[in-house]
Amino acid sequence: MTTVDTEAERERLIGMMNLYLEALEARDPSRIPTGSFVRFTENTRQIPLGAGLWRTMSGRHPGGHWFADAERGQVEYWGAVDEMGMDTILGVRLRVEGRVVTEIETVAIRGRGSFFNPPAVIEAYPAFHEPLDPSERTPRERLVEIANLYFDAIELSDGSRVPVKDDCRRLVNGVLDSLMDPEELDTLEAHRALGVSEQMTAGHYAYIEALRARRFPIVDEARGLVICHLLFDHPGDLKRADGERPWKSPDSTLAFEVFKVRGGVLEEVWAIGTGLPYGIDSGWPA
Amino acid sequence: MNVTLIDAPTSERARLVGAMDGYLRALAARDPGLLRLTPDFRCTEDSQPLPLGSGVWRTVRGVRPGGQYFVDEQAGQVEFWGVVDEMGQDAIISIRLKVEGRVISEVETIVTRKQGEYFDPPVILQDASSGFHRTLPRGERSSRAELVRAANLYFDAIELSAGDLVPLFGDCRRLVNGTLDSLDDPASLPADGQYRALDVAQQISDGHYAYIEALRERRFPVIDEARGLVVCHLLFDHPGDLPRAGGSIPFGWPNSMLFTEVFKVVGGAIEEVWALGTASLPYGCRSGWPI
Repeated sequence: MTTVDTEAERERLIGMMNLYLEALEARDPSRIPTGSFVRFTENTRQIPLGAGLWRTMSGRHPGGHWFADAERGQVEYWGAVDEMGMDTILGVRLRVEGRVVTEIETVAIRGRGSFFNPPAVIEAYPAFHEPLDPSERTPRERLVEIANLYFDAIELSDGSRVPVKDDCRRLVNGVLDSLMDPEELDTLEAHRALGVSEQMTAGHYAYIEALRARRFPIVDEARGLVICHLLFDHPGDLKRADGERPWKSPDSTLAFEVFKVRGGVLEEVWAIGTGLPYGIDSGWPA
Repeated sequence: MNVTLIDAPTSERARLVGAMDGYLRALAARDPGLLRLTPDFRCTEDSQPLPLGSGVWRTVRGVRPGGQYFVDEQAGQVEFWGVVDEMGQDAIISIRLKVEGRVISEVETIVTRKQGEYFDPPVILQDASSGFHRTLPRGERSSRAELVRAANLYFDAIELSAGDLVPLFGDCRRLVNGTLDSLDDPASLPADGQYRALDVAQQISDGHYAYIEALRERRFPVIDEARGLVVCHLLFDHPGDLPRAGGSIPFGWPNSMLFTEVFKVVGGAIEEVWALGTASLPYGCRSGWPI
């Protein structure tokens, strides 16, 4: 929607997301204004609205994070829900056209193990969402470029490609994945104590072959936030720097990632994602 | 190694089995260049279209001897069930080829990796020539249409929790990823798995599979009237909110699973069922092939 008051439009989009979340919690998709057509995917597959998580949803945990792109009519939420008694991390993207929702893209992460911390995903973190001083802002195109450089740097094991702060934190499904206390890590995880750039250059992500089908549905210049949806390809035969193969069978992982960029430099990265069959498409045009 | 040419040795069945063996040799060598393919060739692995040479072609480190071949001479289709070494771990694999003339036009692969209690690769490699693969006397054979109908009735029965819909032998065994799943010894089963000691019809009628909502996109790529075998590929939908008999809800989250199942039908009744399936795929996943 073309608008002069982006903050007001942002609030309206967040209101639409809250309407969606209330409908989901009530398991009543009829509460969502969908107009004549809506496209809904869960973990990449197009299914009828009301199927998937809509049937297993048992409650929503308070908190979470809202991201909006007032220029493009897109809004995204990251949170955690109770799914039949188990915690699930949820990402929801809505496209809003006028007063109706026309696109719903969701990722539901039922992962367990070491990279799964729903409470951290819903934890308040106001600094991440604070508007930047105008002097620290980055134009939309450059925000997208910086996110792309981050992924290129992983693909090529070359951290020098991306402008990233030395103290940049990365959180994966709520779990800290850079600059960790080395004493908390066993030898196979020692690279998680390094900085993001150093991790890349040392080849700790060399088991990732491609970061493909990148889309950037939300850019918020005022806050220095850019969101990318993409697929990680783990072919299963590639080693990382220490000779380990984190995946020993082929896998593709759907990920939603959000980058905080201040003064043209990457300050923080959050990612949520789930493993899927190797080679799967996102369900959305790139 | 020479390129595999699919020639006619002694019979069409032997020719199709030879085509599969050529494919397995190429797979073990991780060299898809050894195969001859049609221009419109398609390949999927666990439902996803992939370039040949990708997926399990990169992680395979050996093909174990043994396995099962299912052949449909009329349709030019052959399916193999076996076990591969995947980066040091056993994986059960199902490969379906469609052969047109001397070239391969379709490859559909399903890889079953270890998870949970349903995983017994050695059983997949056993010699079943005198049992499951035995040729039936003419009086015990069914037509192609009857074989497909029997398999469909089996899946209908599960969808409707009505075991009496399907003609079954009382001692019908079901093997899932090589693991016995009917008429098992109760003493070997945990309290929540006691239903696996029941026969197939009773399991179905009692609602032990009521958590499966749909068995959809059924395809029957391989039918062998002489042996009474029919292969079905399909998707299981588990919406995650349906209880089974006893009230427990398996999964608790939505998923679909891609399966290949083979039925031995003798005199019109199902004598044995073998099934192989993937781990959970995204709910609503399609097979990658037209119905």
